[in-house]
Amino acid sequence: MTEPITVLVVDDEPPIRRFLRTSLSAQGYRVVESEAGADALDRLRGSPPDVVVLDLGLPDMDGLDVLRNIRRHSAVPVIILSSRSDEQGKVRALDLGADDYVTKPFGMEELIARIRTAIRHRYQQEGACAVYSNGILTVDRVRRIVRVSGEEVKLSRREYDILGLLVAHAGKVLTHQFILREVWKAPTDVQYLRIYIKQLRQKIEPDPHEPRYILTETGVGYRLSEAL
Amino acid sequence: MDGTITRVEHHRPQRRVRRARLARRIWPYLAAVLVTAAALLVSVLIEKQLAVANVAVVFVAGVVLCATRWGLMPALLACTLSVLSLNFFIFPPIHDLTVEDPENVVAVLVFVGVAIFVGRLAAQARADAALAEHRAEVNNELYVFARLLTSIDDLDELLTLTARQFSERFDNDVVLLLADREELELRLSLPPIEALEPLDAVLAEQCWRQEERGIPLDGHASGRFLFLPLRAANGTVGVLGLARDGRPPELDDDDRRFVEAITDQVALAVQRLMLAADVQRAQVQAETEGLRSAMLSAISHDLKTPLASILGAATSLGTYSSYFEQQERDDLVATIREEAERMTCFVGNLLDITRVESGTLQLHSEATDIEEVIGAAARRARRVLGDRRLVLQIAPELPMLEIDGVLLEQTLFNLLDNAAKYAPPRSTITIDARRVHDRMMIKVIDEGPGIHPHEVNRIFEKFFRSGHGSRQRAGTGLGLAICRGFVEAMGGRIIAGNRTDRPGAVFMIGFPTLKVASAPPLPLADDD
Repeated sequence: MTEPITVLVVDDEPPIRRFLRTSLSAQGYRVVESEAGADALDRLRGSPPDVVVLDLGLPDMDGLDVLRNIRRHSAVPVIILSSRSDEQGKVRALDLGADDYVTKPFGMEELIARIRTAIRHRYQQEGACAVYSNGILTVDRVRRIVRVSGEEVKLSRREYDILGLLVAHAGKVLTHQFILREVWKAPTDVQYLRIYIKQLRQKIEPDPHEPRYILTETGVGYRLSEAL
Repeated sequence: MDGTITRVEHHRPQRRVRRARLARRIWPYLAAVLVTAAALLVSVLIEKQLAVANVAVVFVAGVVLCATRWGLMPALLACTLSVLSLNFFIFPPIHDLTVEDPENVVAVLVFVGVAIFVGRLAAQARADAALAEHRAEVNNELYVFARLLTSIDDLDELLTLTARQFSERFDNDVVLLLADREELELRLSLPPIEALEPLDAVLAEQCWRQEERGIPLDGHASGRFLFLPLRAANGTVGVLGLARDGRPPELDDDDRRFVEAITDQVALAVQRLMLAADVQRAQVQAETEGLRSAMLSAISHDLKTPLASILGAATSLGTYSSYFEQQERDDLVATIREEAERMTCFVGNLLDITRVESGTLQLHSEATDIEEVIGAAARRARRVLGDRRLVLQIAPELPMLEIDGVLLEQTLFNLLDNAAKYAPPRSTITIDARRVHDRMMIKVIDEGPGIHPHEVNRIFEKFFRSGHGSRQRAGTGLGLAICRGFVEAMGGRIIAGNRTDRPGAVFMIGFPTLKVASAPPLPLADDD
């Protein structure tokens, strides 16, 4: 067994830290705790963790500033704990380089899934996830072939670019602006993205009205459901 | 230098006024002369045919005319001139002021007596008529004003009207102060001033407390304003202040009567409006209290119930863990989870309704795909819907709306959650979205018992829970209030109704197509 994965939990609420410590430890993670932003930054410089779980509402400094500071010298995966109905805060955190978020209150399954996805993407070279499959939808990124239940689906170039990007970050939320930047490489209206997503869903979703692969994070962006 | 110019300019209009006043004063006497001359002319013309006494009647007519038109003094002048004319031109010897015939001496005396008597009567009648006319005018003005006052139900409007009435009639500066609890407060001034000068403030206060009608007119320690109390049945509701040219104006008796009549009317109206405001405040307070008790019962129920379950399950697990089978442990854990989720939902609703009501709701409107938002709401609602079937009927090619997708998703979730509470298991819930004329319509249709006709209008009220079927449903009574708040914040409307084809409720959200996002031209060219 290699070194356990270290999680730095930054939250000022002792009960939250306690249940995270207990649950994450039980899952085999090593947990380091911090109750304030400045302290968290110190710890980060000392012995860098493998992943940071950061609450946006800290007593000493704005969680977004902590994130900005982290990103100045570290690419460590950061999962944000955000409050409900703060989609703008989530988007800003993601644009500042956060890897993902969970909304308080959250279930442990959800947080652990996010942590796993973030770590996997961080330590995986681009292209390592050459083939995505969730059992029905298969995306071969090397040969640029998309199949649904074994049947090849014809996608336009831009549709494929979007799907490819989602596959490369499978399980992670991608903001509208991120997708627009990566695919269009020029300032573009979010309406275009919505239209392409709609077309994509028509082609690959079993029920485009109730998508199961390309999930909508309203007000934030899109997330491709985890590969099975 | 400047002073001279000012004085010259100041005098010029005064001189014109004085000249006009002089002309007005002289004119009646001039008229009396002219009337007498006319009478003389007529007398000379008819003298040949008629007796001297009849001729005298012509002059009497002239005197009466003067008396009725211009008053006593011009009439006396006319009388004197008439006597002289009679004497000089009519009674022999003509062209001589002596009277030969004793009969004519009597005639002259009678004439003078009649002329004076009639002249005085006529002059009195004229004065009475003028006074009556003036009073009628004032009364009419008061009547119109009083009518206006009764039709006003806004205090500020009332004060403005009052101030304007005074400033127009007397060409005054006007201030209105109203008593608010134990304080006299400057409510309006014309022309606007920030505050009363200290002396005026004291005088106003005195006027209000002592209910004395203003300060002495000779004005030792005179401020700028003459203050008059606004007296109503049970006390002085405020004070009216008048000033002219920076000094308290002098009011004659007529003015005073007028001012008093008006201040009484205003006082009554102010009192009426204040009472109305009190009643309204009491109503609002009663409603607030009703709402507060509803909220308290909701909070105590919706927070305490899950807390009790959670605490019970957790202590059981802690204390008796070893006695439980795995199945029982799982049940307790499931209880904790479900109840915590219920509480989460309730707290979320409380936050949402607070955002709606405190006005801190921030809209992040952008081009939104309705179908996508419906899909997201449907996914979120899966668990609360249980085994109920959800059918999505979404018309193809719906335009994008310029709205806040997060708020719409929460609205749809709340509607689905509500449907899940009332619709029986294994029934079908339908979301139908389509464009109808110039509106985007989203309907959530269930197969529950429907909404009682009496409750259709109240269903969106806070803490309103349907008593339909005499079963109190679980829930906070906030979900639908939030829906309405969110939809209206986005410029849409939401209404509730019943299905016509079978029992069931229909909630319909409508957005005007004004909300349709202007579609960008599709850049299909750079695609493939």
